[in-house]
Parts: sequence; structure tokens; C-alpha cells
Amino acid sequence: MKVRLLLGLLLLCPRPAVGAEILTVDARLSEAQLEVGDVLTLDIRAVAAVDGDVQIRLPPIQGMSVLGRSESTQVSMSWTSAGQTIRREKVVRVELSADQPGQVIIPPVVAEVGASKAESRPLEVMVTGNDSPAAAVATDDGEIVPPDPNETKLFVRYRLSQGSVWLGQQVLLDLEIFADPSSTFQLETIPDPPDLDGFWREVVERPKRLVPRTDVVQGRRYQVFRAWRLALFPLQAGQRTIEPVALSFRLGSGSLFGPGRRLRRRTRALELEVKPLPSLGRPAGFSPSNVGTYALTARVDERKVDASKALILKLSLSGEGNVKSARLPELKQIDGFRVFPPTVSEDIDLRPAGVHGTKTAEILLVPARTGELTIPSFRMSVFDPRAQDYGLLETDAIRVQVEGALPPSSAKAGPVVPPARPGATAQGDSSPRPLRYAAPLAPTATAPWSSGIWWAMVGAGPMLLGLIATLRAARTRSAKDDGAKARSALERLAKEKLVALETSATAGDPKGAAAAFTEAFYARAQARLELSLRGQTSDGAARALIERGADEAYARAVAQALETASFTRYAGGTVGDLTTTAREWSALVEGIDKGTYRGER
Amino acid sequence: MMGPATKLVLAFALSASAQPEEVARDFQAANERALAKEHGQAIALYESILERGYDDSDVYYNLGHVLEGAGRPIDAIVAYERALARAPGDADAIFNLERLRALHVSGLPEPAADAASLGEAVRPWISSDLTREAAWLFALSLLAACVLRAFFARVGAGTALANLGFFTATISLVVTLLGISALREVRAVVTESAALREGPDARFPDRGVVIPGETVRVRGTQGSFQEIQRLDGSTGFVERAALATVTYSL
Repeated sequence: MKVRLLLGLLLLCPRPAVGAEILTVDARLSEAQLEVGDVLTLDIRAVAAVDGDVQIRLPPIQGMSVLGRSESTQVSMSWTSAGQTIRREKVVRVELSADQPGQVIIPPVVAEVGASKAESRPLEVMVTGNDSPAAAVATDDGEIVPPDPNETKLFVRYRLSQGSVWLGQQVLLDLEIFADPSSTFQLETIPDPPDLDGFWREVVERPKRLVPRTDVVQGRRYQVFRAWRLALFPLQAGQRTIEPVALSFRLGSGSLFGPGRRLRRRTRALELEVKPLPSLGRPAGFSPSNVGTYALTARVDERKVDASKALILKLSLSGEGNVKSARLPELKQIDGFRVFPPTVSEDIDLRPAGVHGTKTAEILLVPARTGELTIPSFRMSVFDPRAQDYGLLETDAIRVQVEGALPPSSAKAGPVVPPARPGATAQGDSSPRPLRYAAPLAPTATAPWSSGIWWAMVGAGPMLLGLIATLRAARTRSAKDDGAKARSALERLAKEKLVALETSATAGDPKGAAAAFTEAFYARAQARLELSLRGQTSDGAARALIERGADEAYARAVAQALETASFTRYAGGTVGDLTTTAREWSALVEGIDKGTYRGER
Repeated sequence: MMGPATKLVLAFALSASAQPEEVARDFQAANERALAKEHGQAIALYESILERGYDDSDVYYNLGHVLEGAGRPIDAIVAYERALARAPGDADAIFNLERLRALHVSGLPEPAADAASLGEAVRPWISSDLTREAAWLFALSLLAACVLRAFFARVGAGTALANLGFFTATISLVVTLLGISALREVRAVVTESAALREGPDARFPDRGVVIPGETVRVRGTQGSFQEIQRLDGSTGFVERAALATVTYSL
């Protein structure tokens, strides 16, 4: 019983059909030829007749990059007379992007299940590349480049409103998608409008939802969708190239089994002829920014104005063209007015038909006198592309009546408005303090120390004091010098007389010795003590010496010597031993040097 | 018949007297534009007065008023701060400035107790006009005192008057130096939100953000950055383009 059960189970086990292949693999490409950057799909289908996980190994492919991969597996079982069979089918879809031009070989794809292995056949695809990009093409006004043979169902193109324009003239550039009405597609990306070298551009249309229209190209009907529209203003003359752009699509609406086939489509590069503005007939002072179909107007807010009020002059340039770069006429002076720098504003209107706009300069004019004043007409040269010629735009002159009296001249028109609530805070108050309607305006004062007068005042006083002090010091020094000279002369005299005293004593001349002693002592006393003893009695001299601090004995000795000397000189008296007396007399004179007059020994 | 010298003097006198009249008229015209809510024209007129050297606090005050009306609160704060730099005790300007900050600026740091400098402490009392007058008084009193001391020291009260002159000169000098200190300090208003960085380069990490409308003290300049000190005492570097200097220096 158990054996039968086992045999039954064995019969039920699936086994490969006798004579059938266990594993097969097949690979196919969606395109045989494409351009660099384009995407193709590699579909791989492996079928295994046994149960087990089917592995598919994709070999490296030179010249291509894998963008994405999706897999699905289907398992089916069937019972035949040979028994149960199982069939496992695995589908792999790989998206590849062509990286470089040339012949690309896709090596065999290997599939494995268990010990079984199978290979697909190798595949080839031709890639044309950017090495030889399609040359730029010139088109007529509003025309497009026809589609290539491999893109008849879906292609993208630029469309220029004009194939040839003047420098600065507006031209419209559209990016359009042409699709066969029977095909459905999804747009993966719409590239941003490019920044084109040599052009000023404005995006005038960029719909969020593509709206189709019908067009016929080479006898074939297409649905045409505009992705965006640019208004271009060429900034340089010559042949300008508009570089191509590429868009990615998915064909079909997608299904449960996949999002649809992926495609890239590229526009062709376009050539645009930009003609330089004609030199013949070009007005003097013409600005190349002023290209367009324009009108120029000037108006004031009031024709009658009070002399104390200002008025506003509005000068406007409006029309079709690049108003942003247009240059309005400059206004420097108007007789009877003071002119202030203008405030310039622009109002640009981006329409599908192109760029329209208005550029306005608001100029504040303050009357400088009363009466009828005239604002002269303004002139401006432009180049009108429609007329293909230069033109002169001109406004009418404007008469303005200024009445009343000009404001009185006063830099001090009145007191400053005092604060309404001094010290009040801003809390709970939503209104600001009011304007100051009259203020004593004065030019900004400079710092005092930037004035020479200030420095002169600051320096003059101390300099004066310094000068006076210097003069006083000089005078004092001069007086001191005179005193020193006198003392020095007296010292010399005292020395001479001491020598004369010695000589007279040696010569036995008592009168001469007495005179020399007297003169020497007077001179030495004058020089050292500033004491004038001449004309004084001997007692008077002694008293004077004592008052100056002399020793009493010394003073008495001096008094005695002076008396003896005087007696000898004038009364013929004698002095005994003249040599000894002369020595004593010299000692008295030298006594002043030695400080004996103070009693010092 | 006027000689050439007379003509020259007359022309100079006329031109000198013409400008204050023009400025007064422009000020009136600007005020009327402001009242008529024509903010752009009023702003242009006030700015033209400032450009002609009439750097007056009242002009800045009115300019701040109009800038607020024109929906430019940060520029209005700058104008009011400049008015206060010239007239520190202007109660109207202080009121309007505080009101603007209350309405339009949030997240300002709390002022630190010790963040005020000597200059800030004396600023409410010492204006630029007072500093100029004190400087002139110093020069005059010093000269007078020196002359009295030199020639009249022995005449009656000559010495006493000289000493009074020296005393006056000393006080005036102190006031002048305080005024210079107050006015020399550079302050700025933050005009746009910017990172407060640790160093004078965008590669330095930031330690916060300065707030438009905030007033900061500028401590130095390095390249395109300025070192600032905020109300709370914190310091850092901010791009110069985000600051508007408001300090008025003599």
C-alpha cells in the first residue's frame, strides 16, 4: 500500500516532456537604427520547461547605457499523457540609451535555470551620432523643416515667424510637436526655452495643457501642439543659429503590462539671418535700441498750476518691440522749470502675437517763474521694421499756466512742529507723528577743527603765554649774566690788589700796601657778599659784616685793619712791620674765601 | 558801471542766497507730494535736498515718514535713525521709529544691561550742534584766558577772569570730546536678513541671523564684511551689503 502511494506521488511530479528543450531564450530590439542619445528597448523572453527560478544575465553592451529594466514571470502547468508539465516564462524589458555613434553589437543574453543554460543570438544596431549632426537649415517665414523618413508618425520642429529680420526686430520662435492623429503619446519632458546667445528673449506663451490644431505636412495630416513660443530680439547681426532641443515621449497610452515605448525626438537647428540696420538715412543720435513699431506721447497732470506746486510730466513710448531696452529722449532743461531726474517704469504685455509694452518716464517739474510756460516737444528716432525705414517720433509742445506767487525765500519758514506727546511710546498708537511742514533747513555745518580759524584760536593763547614766558626768562638770564660779569671783575680786582699789597709790602711802601688792602677787601666783599663797604666807617663795616653772619672777632679785626690802612694812606701813619701787617691784611681778605666771615675755620 | 570784481562778488552773493530759497521751495513741494500720497516724487525731492548738502534731521524725519507710506518700512527705519543721529532727543522720531519696529520687526534680541557704550549713554544729550558749539567755546575761552593771563594778570580781577576762562575751556573741551566719542561710534541698520558669521567670509559657520530693521554697532570692516555688535552684546560678521550706516560724524 505504501509503495503504491509512493508510485502515485512520483507520477504526479512534474517532469519535462520527452524530447522538448528545457530552456530557451530569445532577444529582440525595438529599433535597428537610432541616433546618439535616443532610447531603444531590448525585450528578452526566456521559457523554461522545468520548475525553478530563471536567471537572465544581461551582458555588458559597449556604447550603450541601461536606463531601466522591468521583469515579469508567468508560470503555467499542464497535464498530458506524459504527465504534468510546468512552463515558466520570464520576460525582461531593458531600456538602453545610445551613447556613441557606430555599429553596436549586443552580445548573447544568457538564461539559466538549475543546471540548464541557454543563450540568445547576438543583435546589431546602427547608431548615428553627433559627430555629424544635421546642419542648420534656413526656412522661409513660418515654414518648418519636413520630417525625416523614420519620424513620420511623430516629430518635433522649430517654427520661426520670419527667416530674415533686422537687428533688434522681434521674431517669434515656436517649438511644435507633430503627431499622427492615430497615435497616442505621452510627453515625458518639455525642455525649458533655451537661453540663446546673441538674443534677448521673452517667453510669450507656455501652455500648461497642450492644445492641438490640425496641419498638413507633405500631404500628411498631423495634430500639432505648441510647447512654447518665444519672442526673440537679435542683439548681433549676421547668420545666427538656433540650436536644437530634444523631447522624450512614450508611445501608446501605456497598459498594465508596461508604460509604452520610449522615444526621443529632436528638432533641427535653424538659421536666422539678422540684417544690420541700414546706414543710409540713419538719423544723427539714433540709438540701436530703438527698433520697433512705436508711438511717443507726452502729457502733464495739470495745465494750470500754482507757483508753489510741482507738476508731473509723463513721457511714454508704447508699441511693439523691446521697450525694456528702448531709450527715451533725455530731458535736461526746460525754460521756466527746474527739472528733476525721472522715475522710469515699464509695463510689458506678453501676448501670443509678441511683446507689446509701454515705457514711461515721470519727470517732476517745479516752476521757477510765473506766467505761461512751454514744455517743448520731444523727438526720438526709431527704426520701424514694418516700414523697413527710420522714422521720427515727435510729441506736441505743452503750454502750462503758472499762477500765483512763488514761495517766499526763507530758510527759516517757521518753528518745527513740537512733539504732540513728548515721551509717549508707540504702544497702542497706530498713527505716526506727522510730517514737519516747515523747518529751518541749513547746509550741513562742518566740524570746527576742519577750520583754520579754530586752530588759530586754540593755538594763539598758549603761544602768546609761551612767548611772554620766554621773554621773561631771557630778561632774567640777562640780568644774571650782568651780575656774574660784575662779580668776576671784582674778583679779578681783588686778586690784583692782593698782588699789589704783597709788592708794596716787599717794596716798603706802606701807603701803597694800605691802599691795595683797602681796595682788595672792598672788591672781595662786593663780589662774595654783595656788600658795599666803600664810604662806610670801620665800625659800620664791622657791623655790616656781622649782619652778614661774620664772626665778631673777625669783624673787629677787619674794622681795625681798615682804620689802620686809612690812617696810613691819608695821615701818613706807620704800620710797624709792613711785611707782617701785609700778611695779616691778606689773610683778612682771604678770610672771606675761607668762610671766616662766618666764624668758620 | 560795475567793475569786474563787483560783478564777481554780486554773482557769488546771488548764487549763495539762491540755494536756500530753492531748498525751502523743494522742501515744501516734497511735503505737498507726501500729503498727496505721491510717495515716489516726495522721496525723490527729499533725497535731492540731502544730496545738495542739506543733511538735516527734519529732512530725514519727513523722508522716513514718506518711506513708511510707500511701503518701505526698513528704509523708513534707516531714515529715522539718521534723523536721530543728527538730533538725538527728537521725540517724534523716537516715537515713529519705535512704532515702526513694533509693527514690522520681530525677533529682536533683548538688550544686554552692559551693552551700551559711553557714546550711547551721552548721545541723548549731546547732539552734533552742541558738540560744534562746545568746540568753538573751548577755542574762544582758551584764547581769552591766555590773553588775560598774559596782559592783565596784575590788573584788578585779571587773574580771576583768566582762571574762569581756563575753567570754561576745560568744561567745553570735555563736552567736545564726549560729543566726538558719541558721534564717532558707527551704527548701522540691517536692511535685509543675513547670516551672522564667525568670521569675515561666507565659508565661516554662522551663529545666527540678523533681522531687517535691527540697529547694530559696527566695530570694524574687513573686506566685504563688517564686524558688528548686536543689542544683546553678541558679535559677529555680516556682509556690508546687508547694512545701511546711519551714524553722523562731524
